[in-house]
Amino acid sequence: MESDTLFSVDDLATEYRTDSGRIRAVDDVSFDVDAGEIVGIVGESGAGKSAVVKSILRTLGENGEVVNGEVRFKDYTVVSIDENGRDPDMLSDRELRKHVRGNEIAMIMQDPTESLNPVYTVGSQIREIIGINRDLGSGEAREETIRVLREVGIPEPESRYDDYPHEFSGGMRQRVLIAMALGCRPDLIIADEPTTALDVSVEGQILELIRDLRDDYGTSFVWVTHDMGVVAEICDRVNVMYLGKIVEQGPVDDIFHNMQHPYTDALIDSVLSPDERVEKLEPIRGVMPSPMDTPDGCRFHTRCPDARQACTEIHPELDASAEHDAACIKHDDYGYEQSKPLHIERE
Amino acid sequence: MATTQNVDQEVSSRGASWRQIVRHIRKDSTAFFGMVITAVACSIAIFATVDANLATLTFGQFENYALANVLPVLQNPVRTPPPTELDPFLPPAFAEEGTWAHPLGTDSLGRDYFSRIVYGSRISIGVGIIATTLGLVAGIAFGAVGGYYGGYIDDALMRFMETVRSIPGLVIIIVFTMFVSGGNPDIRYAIVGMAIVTAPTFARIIRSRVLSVRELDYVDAARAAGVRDRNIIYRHILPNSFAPVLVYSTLHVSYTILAVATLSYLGYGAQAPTPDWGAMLNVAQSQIHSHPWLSLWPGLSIFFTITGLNLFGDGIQDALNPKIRK
Amino acid sequence: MLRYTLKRVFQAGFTLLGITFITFLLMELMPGDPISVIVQNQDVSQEVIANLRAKYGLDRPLHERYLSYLGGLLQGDLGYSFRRQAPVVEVIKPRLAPTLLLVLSSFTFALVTSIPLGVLAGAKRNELPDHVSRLVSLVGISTPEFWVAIMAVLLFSVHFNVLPASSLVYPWRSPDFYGYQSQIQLYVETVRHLLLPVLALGTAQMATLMRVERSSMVETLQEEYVQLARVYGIPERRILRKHAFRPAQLPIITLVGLNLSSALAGAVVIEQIFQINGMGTLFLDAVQSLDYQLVMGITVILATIFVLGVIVTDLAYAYVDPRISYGGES
Repeated sequence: MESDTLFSVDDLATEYRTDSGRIRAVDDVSFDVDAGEIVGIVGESGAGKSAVVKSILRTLGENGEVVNGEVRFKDYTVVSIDENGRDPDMLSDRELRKHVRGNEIAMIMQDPTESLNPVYTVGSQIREIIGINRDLGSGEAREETIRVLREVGIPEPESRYDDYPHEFSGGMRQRVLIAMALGCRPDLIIADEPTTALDVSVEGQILELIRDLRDDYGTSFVWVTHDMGVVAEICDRVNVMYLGKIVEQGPVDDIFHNMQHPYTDALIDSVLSPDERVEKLEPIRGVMPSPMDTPDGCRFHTRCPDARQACTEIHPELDASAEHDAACIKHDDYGYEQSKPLHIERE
Repeated sequence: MATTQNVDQEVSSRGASWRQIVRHIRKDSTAFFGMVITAVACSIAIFATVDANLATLTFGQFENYALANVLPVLQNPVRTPPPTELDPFLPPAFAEEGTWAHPLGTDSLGRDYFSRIVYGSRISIGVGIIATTLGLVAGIAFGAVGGYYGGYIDDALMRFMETVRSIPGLVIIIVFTMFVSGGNPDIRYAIVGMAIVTAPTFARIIRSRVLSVRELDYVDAARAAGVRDRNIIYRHILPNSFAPVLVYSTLHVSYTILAVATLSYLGYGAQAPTPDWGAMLNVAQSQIHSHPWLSLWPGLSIFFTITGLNLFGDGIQDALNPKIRK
Repeated sequence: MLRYTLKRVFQAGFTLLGITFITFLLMELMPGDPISVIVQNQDVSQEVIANLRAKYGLDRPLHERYLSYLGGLLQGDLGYSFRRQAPVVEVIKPRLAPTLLLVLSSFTFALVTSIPLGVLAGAKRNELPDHVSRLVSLVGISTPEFWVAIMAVLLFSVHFNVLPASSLVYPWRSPDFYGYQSQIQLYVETVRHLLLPVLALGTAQMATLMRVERSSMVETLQEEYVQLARVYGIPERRILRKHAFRPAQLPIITLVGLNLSSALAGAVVIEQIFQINGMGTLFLDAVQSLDYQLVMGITVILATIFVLGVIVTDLAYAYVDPRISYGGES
């Protein structure tokens, strides 16, 4: 791990047990996050983004299991599993809870309405979390809470402290969750689609807040979203996911101007680009196949407008350590040019 | 027992089908067990070919029977008449003095207990089904009418239902029996009373479904096309309510059995000599010191029947619960 | 909060109104009127009958009679029991306390046992405590209360002879009333006499509550805010105790209110078995003797108790769930 890298994920693979068998929701995913970086994970729903997040924090639940991979954060081995099972270096549940969860890595979840306990005041919830994770007494924790509420832009934090979650609007609630994450002073915050449930204008405010916080505190972020527009606004680097795999990764500017993977292209086309005056939204053709039934070769070939015969046979690899790479033979040239174009089904 | 609140919210008719229920029941062993018990109980009730006559003799007819060949039984109630052959293979309780001719013994009048229990199952299950069905029909009628037409009718019906629900069911039935029979209780009044008590809950389920469906576009379209109100209710609203109604019916039959047993115990259900488990328990209670076995069988019968129905009903509920369905 | 309370009281008032109306109608329907009941076999002239009628206001039109009935109710007048030659209220009064003692004690028993067991079962889903709890629940729900009572009497009273099989001791009386030496003995005896009836009445309650507690706990533990607490490193114990417990109690509170109705019904039977002089036995006696006035009076009282109980539980619910009482965004 390089000296600048705060957080790294290597060859992560996660499976879910279902009635119909095991599904590989995350397949060979690798990426890094440097200090002060905002790294995005973007893809349609079902691509495996949430599974990645849950695997990192080991909150998979009864039916999920990390079957392979390493997740390293600073000096901690959060996850280390291979075919021989768990690496003894890996943190125990208790160690994970005490040392990593909250104090080092915090999380902002998607639905601010469901993420706050309705029967306790907002202040008391934040205070408890800050208190436990930073080992503060209740008086200090309360002060910190008020401070952090103010920082995320909630007016009159002293009186809002005693309000209940339902007395806040959606955007305010999300700020509360951000305050909660911030209050723990973590070095990494993982945000799982935090602006999806919000209005566009509110979303813009939240994104600005995040940028300010990153600038002021140097916190790193892993930002999960399905919206390329958000990626453009806030991320430094981005990983594009499709059906459990990362299909393209690189700096955001680079990706937007020199996208290499057709899926990335399609994702970008599906949002209104601020640069071009695109009149209509282009939905991506087709639907993502079920993870039970992954296509041969390149997983995207069933919907790819540039697909060729070779795409059904060759399984493109992604170089996670490169500055910018895509898992597509178009650029790697495994005989792409020579291969026949594939007829893909129109919807 | 599932209350209507959670039954209504948790169960969805969307995609509900018999196949789904069957599939779930096969997977869930407790539900399957419940279904088996229920099936057994129902079969016993329907097909039992024991000598039912023995179970329901009136006292007059019985006298003749007794004088003829059951006098010894009167002297020794739990013992059977002197057996023609000694057969020691009996339920342990009766190992010493009983015979297979009376597997569960006999009661104080010498009537075969086994056949009384069996016949009692007919009464209990039959009453359960009849009362629940009546309540269901009435509830559907009220709920559908109230929900569909709204306004004063709805308000009035809802007030009425609220009132009925505020008074304990047992009290309503007993009071109803008192007023209607003027001191001569009978199982028929209990059935009607039970239906009255059941109706509000079904009405509520149906009404909420009606309210949610009423505003849908295709209902408007149907109405605009001139489809009669009644047909709208039949074709669109009722199928949507299938799931909670089914679950609640099953559970309610078991509730009815319990309630009727209690009523009979108090003397407001089946009247002598009809063998009803609750009534049998009442009689058995006074004999509890000398012949404790008499209280055991009716109680166990009630217990098993209700357990079976509850497990089965729970299984159906789980089968139709979208949160549990994968 | 205050507004919510008033709203609920107002709604309850409507329900009670409906009850009085139906009660009144039923009394109108009863065969004959009170006068003929008294006068049955005696040779009394029509004039006397007419006078009696007028005296008791039985010749006035329906709506007037209803209004005066209502007025009487509000003043605490439930009518007159001709069979017992006493105002209904006086007959009922001494019977109220025993029934309330029985019902409240069984609820306490049910809550005290079902909540811890239900929470445990929910937290350890599909493990041993869960299976045990589900078994206990099932047995509790499927067993008729009176059978439990009979069996309990058989076991504890007849066989082991440790507990009394009938009647209650009332802690508000003086020890001398029963011939006890001290207050302590009075309280001990109160509990001793309550054990079997409460067990019989409370078992079914406990079973239902335990089930709901379990499933509520399971559901709450899957909520987003619980996941969030875990993700922030809160120990599981604390999550169970603080984060999950309180929200999970909400369905229980509502259920307790609704269960009051079946508890009152159960009390009727239990009182009968244990010879307790409460409203239950009074009710059965009244029906037996066709004392219509008394029966309807008891019905009104029972309904009122239920309605009040529901209001109390609704208020408790609102107290625990801030969304109800505060409601809306600032």
